[in-house]
Amino acid sequence: MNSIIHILQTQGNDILSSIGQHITISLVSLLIAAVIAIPLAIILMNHKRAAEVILQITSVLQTIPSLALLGILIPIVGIGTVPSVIALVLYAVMPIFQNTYSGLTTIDPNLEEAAEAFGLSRTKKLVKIEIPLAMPMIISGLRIAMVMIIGTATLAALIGAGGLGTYILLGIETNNNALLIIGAVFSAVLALIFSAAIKGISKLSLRKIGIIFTAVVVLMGGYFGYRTVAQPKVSITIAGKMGSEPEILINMYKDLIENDHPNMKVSTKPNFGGTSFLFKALKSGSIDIYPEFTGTVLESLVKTNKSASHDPKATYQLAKKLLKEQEDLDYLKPMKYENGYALVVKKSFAKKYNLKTVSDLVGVEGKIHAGFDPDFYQLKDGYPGISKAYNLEFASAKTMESSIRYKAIANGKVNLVDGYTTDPQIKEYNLVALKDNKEFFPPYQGAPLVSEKLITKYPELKTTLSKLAGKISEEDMQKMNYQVAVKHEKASKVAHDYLVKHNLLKGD
Amino acid sequence: MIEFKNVYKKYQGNQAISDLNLTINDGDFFVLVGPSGSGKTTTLKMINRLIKQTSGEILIDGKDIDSLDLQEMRLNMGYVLQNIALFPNMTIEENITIQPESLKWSKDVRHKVAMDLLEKVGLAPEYAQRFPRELSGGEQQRVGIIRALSSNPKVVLMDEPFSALDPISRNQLQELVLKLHKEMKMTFIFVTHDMNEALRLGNTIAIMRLGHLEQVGTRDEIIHNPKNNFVDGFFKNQHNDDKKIKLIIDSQNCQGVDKQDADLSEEDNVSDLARVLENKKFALIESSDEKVWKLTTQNLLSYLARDGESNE
Repeated sequence: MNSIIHILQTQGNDILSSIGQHITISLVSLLIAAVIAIPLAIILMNHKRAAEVILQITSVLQTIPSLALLGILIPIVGIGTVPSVIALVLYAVMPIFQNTYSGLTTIDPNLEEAAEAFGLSRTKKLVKIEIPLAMPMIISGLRIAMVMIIGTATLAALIGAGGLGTYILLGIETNNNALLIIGAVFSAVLALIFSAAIKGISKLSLRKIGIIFTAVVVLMGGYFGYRTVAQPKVSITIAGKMGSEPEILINMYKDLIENDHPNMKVSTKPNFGGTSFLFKALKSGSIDIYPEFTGTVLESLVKTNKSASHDPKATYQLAKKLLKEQEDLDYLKPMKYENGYALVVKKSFAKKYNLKTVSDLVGVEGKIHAGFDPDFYQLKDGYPGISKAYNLEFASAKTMESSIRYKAIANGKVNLVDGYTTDPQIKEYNLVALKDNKEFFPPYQGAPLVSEKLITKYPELKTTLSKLAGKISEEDMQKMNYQVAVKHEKASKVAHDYLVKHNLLKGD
Repeated sequence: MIEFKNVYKKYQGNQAISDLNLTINDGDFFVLVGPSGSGKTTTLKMINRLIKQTSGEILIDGKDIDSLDLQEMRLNMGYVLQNIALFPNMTIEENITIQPESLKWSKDVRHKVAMDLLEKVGLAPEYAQRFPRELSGGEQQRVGIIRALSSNPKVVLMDEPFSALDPISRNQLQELVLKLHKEMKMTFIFVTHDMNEALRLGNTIAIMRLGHLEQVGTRDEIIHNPKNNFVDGFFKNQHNDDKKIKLIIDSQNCQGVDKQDADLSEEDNVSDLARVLENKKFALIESSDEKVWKLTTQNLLSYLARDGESNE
């Protein structure tokens, strides 16, 4: 509870802007869906066959899992707000269409007969009688759609459209329940508020509804129009993966670029999505820069038949060469720290047995009770490999969910776990990562991945971003991750403080 | 003048109307009466083309209705439905003036029409802004009737408009349509299955059976010169339950109660009492000397039992 309040205090503005994004995406989707579904139902109200076909189609759309739908849309329309809105519209069309259609077709036949017998025109009958009588059903369709949209819109965060889903994903990713609760509770509250608002609107006359509808459309149009017009001349978009570390890094990039080049405006998109989303976004030009790990490049972004080298320099060189050849991307120089696998023990334990490197474990292997992430336990690059490389045989090794293994070691249930070298928990629980002195684990060094086009156009960016090359140690990163992920300090502030402290910003 | 010339109507091979020839004069109160399935409602709905005849011609003032503009024709024709069918989303005034609005009459004129008509049927002006659900069934059908009169049509079609009402309301509304007919000089074409209602209202009565016209004539002609056994029987059958509740009160030791709102008057028919007792334990009957009597199902049964004896 305390951490929720703390996050709300420190990140209030970010949360507000997420709520804004969430509302915008949801309202735009609802309006578009309504503009499609309601007229369609009106046109088809006297064509039962065609209406049933449409109902079938929309029901099928409904059954496509939202994630799959987003996946299908990315190659067609890219990432960001557009595919999210398209997906949400596809989902929302069905409840609105179905309710409008059944509202219009279940009107008391006596009333239809009366309207007919009084000689009302088709339009008059529709406007004066059918739509008002179907209104409660139409409204309930809109409410169902709205609640669904607000819920589903949390997935928009996966493809970089922002919104409250960012907090939910981040919460899951970093095992931070407070963030998860914030995302979930706010989206639930939004759903309730909008559902109530639509109910309120339904009590107004048709004309007033028209006025409100037009006003919303005009306001949104104006907002987007303004945003398009107000874009500065040179604008650079930097995105980052989920979590605190990429967010800190992209804020550093932003500070450095804006400090060196006052004519450039950098917008950051933290927690933009997973690796493949970001990579696609970079290639499609939706974003210009994002930090990527050398190991990840070789593992999943480029085609290579060479087996992974365990030498960080060779790894970087190969990654840079292949990215250039295959994808025409520029991979700038990496930072110092490596965010790779590590074996982690308590500081007190390390001190007692004088442990500094993984090789030092050999003497005490009979005392080691390890807890490993299931992946690490099985992967060739994980426990099986390292026990072979260092000839280690632990007294016991069990698998546990990655989120609880740090708690397990902190509580003394185990005395060695796997982890990543920059995990904030290492600092939080007073642990230490043993040095991989035989360089068994594949190296994961972070470096800015930039589109070739941007670098050709602004070659000076290379110098600016290379200021971080060879900087930031594992301990620095651990500490900064700890400040952001555990202490909930603002990533931009933590990043700025680091740059100032290390004299990387001139005149500051 | 409305004329049916050799009109046939088939529904999926079934003959609903066969060879109908009929003339309805301007200003007449014309009642179509017959048991269910006789084709009376079909006949009525063919006049405003809600139902299209299979063959034959229907003429209004000598013009084939198929040649008229459908919307224009309907806008100038009143229509009252059996189940009233006021539009629940509109106020009473909006309901009444729906045809004038389509005819693009000015707002002031429409308002005046609504007020005049409300007054004619004894509804206070404040009813104008109420919604149908706030009115009793009898009140709603009053509105249903004046809605059909609002565009000052030459012809008003009424499809069993009172069959869903309680006997008292029915009585009052029958009075009302007679009065309106006298005042407004329109042609009323009225469908009913109730011979008593037909005899009470109609200047001209057409008796139908199984899609055929059995007899058309004035009230006196029907009563005194029934053309065949069916007409005679239909008239007599219904006339049989023309016995007044007064007979029960007079013949039995009924329980008198304090004066209060009664369900029926002693002048109503025994069949009306039976209808009320279907849903209630007892019925309150007001007699002409302003006493109120409580009649139970037992009273009705004893009366019927003795009535049967005396008939034998």
